[in-house]
Amino acid sequence: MDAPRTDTPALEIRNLRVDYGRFTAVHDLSLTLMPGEIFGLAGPNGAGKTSTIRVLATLLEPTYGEVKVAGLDLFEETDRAHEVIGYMPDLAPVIPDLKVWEFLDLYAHSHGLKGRRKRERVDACLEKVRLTDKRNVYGRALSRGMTQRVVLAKTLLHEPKLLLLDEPASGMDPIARRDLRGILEELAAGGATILVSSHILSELSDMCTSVGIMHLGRLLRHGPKDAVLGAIDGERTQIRIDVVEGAEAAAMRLEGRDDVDSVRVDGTRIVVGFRGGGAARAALLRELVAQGAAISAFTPERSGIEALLMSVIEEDGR
Amino acid sequence: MIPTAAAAALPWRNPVLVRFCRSRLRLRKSVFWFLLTLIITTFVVTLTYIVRTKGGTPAEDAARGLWIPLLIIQGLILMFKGTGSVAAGLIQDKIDQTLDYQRLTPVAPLRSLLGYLFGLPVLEYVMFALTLPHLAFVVLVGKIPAGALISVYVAFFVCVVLYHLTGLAAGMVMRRWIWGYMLSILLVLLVNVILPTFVSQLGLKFFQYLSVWPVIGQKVLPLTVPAAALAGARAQNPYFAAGEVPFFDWTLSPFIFTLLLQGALIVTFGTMAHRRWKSASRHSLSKPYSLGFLAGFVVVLLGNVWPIITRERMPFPLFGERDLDDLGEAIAIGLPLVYACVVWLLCIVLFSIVVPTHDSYVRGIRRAMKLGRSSARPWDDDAGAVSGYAVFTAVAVGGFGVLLNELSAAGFLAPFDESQQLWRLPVAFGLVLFYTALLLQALGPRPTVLVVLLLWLLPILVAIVLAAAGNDFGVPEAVIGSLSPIALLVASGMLPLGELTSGAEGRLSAVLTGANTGLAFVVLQTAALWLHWNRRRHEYEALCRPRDRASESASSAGISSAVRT
Repeated sequence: MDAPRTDTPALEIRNLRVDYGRFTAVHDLSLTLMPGEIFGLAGPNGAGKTSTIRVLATLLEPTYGEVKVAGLDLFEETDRAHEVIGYMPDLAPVIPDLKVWEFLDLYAHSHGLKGRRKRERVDACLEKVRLTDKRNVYGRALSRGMTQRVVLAKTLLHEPKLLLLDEPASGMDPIARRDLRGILEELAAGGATILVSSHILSELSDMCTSVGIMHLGRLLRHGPKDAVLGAIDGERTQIRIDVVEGAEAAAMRLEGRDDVDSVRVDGTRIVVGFRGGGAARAALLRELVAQGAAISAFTPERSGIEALLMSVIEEDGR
Repeated sequence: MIPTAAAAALPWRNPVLVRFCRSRLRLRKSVFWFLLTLIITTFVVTLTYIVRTKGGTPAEDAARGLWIPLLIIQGLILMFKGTGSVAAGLIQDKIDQTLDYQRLTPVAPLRSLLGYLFGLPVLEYVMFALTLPHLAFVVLVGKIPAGALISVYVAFFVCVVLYHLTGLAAGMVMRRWIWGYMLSILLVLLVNVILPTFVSQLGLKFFQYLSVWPVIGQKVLPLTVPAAALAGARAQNPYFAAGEVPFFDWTLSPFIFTLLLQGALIVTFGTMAHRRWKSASRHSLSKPYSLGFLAGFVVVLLGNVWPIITRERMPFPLFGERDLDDLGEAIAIGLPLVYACVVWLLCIVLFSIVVPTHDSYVRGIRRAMKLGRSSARPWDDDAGAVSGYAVFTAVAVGGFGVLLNELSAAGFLAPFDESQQLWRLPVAFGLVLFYTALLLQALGPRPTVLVVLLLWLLPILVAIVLAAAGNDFGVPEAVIGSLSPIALLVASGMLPLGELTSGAEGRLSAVLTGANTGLAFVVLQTAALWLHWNRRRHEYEALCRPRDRASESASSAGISSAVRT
């Protein structure tokens, strides 16, 4: 296969549409990703993320649309495209009656690896996901997080140029998530393009170079992470404030502020819609304490992307 | 040096096959089955051999007599257990989503399917291998000729592959492993027991060649049964009705005919599995393939009854050993009716495969509109072109015309020359076929099942109850019964015969009224379905057009508002 030129987009989607009967899951989606990009696809449940990824993985036939992967027409040159695509589904399964190494060996073999090269690649991928000591464990005996890591190892076996990861971190513990981020950054540095979807948005903000927001089948915003975040009118954060007493009084004081969009009191908890960055939040906390509020916890609940997502969805709804 | 393509075909180079060899042959799990096979086979072979030799049967004959019990054990292992394993295993992979992993590898679909076909039942193949020492004993002591041995096992394995492919196709279509398992076992029972026992006795002997029994009848029985007993067994037992297979003006060996027929079905089931492997949303068969299959079926069906309808000979016992002339009326009325019912059944299966659901029809319109057409091309999976169903009907009715023409040329229809009713069956048959397709198209699969229950089966049951209650079969019973297309076909086919009989004028008149009512009811239903479908079609087209424009504008607004790199 010809090596794709670096100026060839790793992924080009034009007017992709997916219908389930009369329900449209993806509305004429267009998107271009370049090599080395880590693209985070965010959106609530039912936004069309999984449908989009399943089309890109050739598991779902779209109603129409054009997709090119590393210059290959996905629907005309499917077998060649499979050589450059790695796909990890949401709640990825393993084969229960195969040992971990047998599972990886099956797909290494399926991707044309043979002999020593196959064994080395299986070992390297196991090492990468830190599961070398589990190589002889049966698939059915793995925990959810370990299963995710085994499937990630499987996805990396053939060194794909385009990785499609649907909710990859679900079930992973914090260490495995950190490892996942490291692996993805390393792959991107090597020229691979990664499309990762999640509704746990803090995951995306940490690892992505660009993001897209999907809602009701439409890609509402997309572009470099900083540019997309910058396009939002300030940083909107939801802050959870727990007080020992005097929640109503504190809430009344908060309602009078210009940088507060909303205040909701729930017992000793106040949930505040707030516009402003870290410094503004610190100033707010100082003021509340100075006013005598007995604060036991002060927790910003949403990351920048979460705020962006809510903002864009609300905007779309209006 | 082995060429690359040939090397890829080697079993141990097939990753899917290697996977199943690993997972299904783990000694801890499989040892039970291995021991069970050895114990039962050894018990049956040893006991039968000892009893026979002690009863004075020569060792050679006693050993030969073990072949059929051994074939039954081998058949139970590979045909029943193996087929179930294929269907259930594939569905389990589908449920686990691990089938998707294999789809995403660059392994060619055919190679993957071969891996599943021979890998899922690998335990059963090893169990079969454990019966080979017993077979070797039968062959060596019984001095079985190599030709017979090879013929039987070639036919046996072709059968096994056909059944396993059936399981694979069932696995690709069904969603729950238990249903896939049961369906595939049922299909094996159908082709081994039900079709040879019942349908082949109605003149459609070719169904018998879907099993290995005719080859056993041709190759094994002469070795194991004395000549005098064999003639009796062949006359009595439909499984072993040997001799040559009549096909138009030719005669074929059962072995060749079995291979041809099963080969065609292997290609068909292979095509189904391949299409579903490539895309789970595709129909199992394309419309052109289904039409070709229907045409092929009609040709095989006609070829099989040709010696009868041309008065050449009666090649098998239809209603016992009787002369063709004695059966004239039964053949003139029975064969067209059997043809109509069997072809209708096949068409129901084919229509349920090729008629698109409303959802996929809508998808077809959207896709076509994007490509600048107003609807999907007539032979696409998503097309709901009624003209296509008319072509299916034309092929089936065309075969029916040939059948009637030959029956007439051979003089079978002479007693009915005065009949005013001969037109009824072809008209009812064509109408019912087209109505069936339109029913599926206009209402979709689930409502169609309700229609079958309420309008196809219920009227017959009500008519039976009324007739039983009144102790008579009059106009009301006939009218109600004929509302069902099943009863309509039977009544239309039987009316000419009724005209010949005397002494039942009242009943004949009732059936005639019923057939007229039934025909009018099917015409009305067809017209209603046609109108309903046209209305739905226009609704769907309208649904697609404005939404596309709206979504295009919304989409372009979305893109323009996106932050571009």
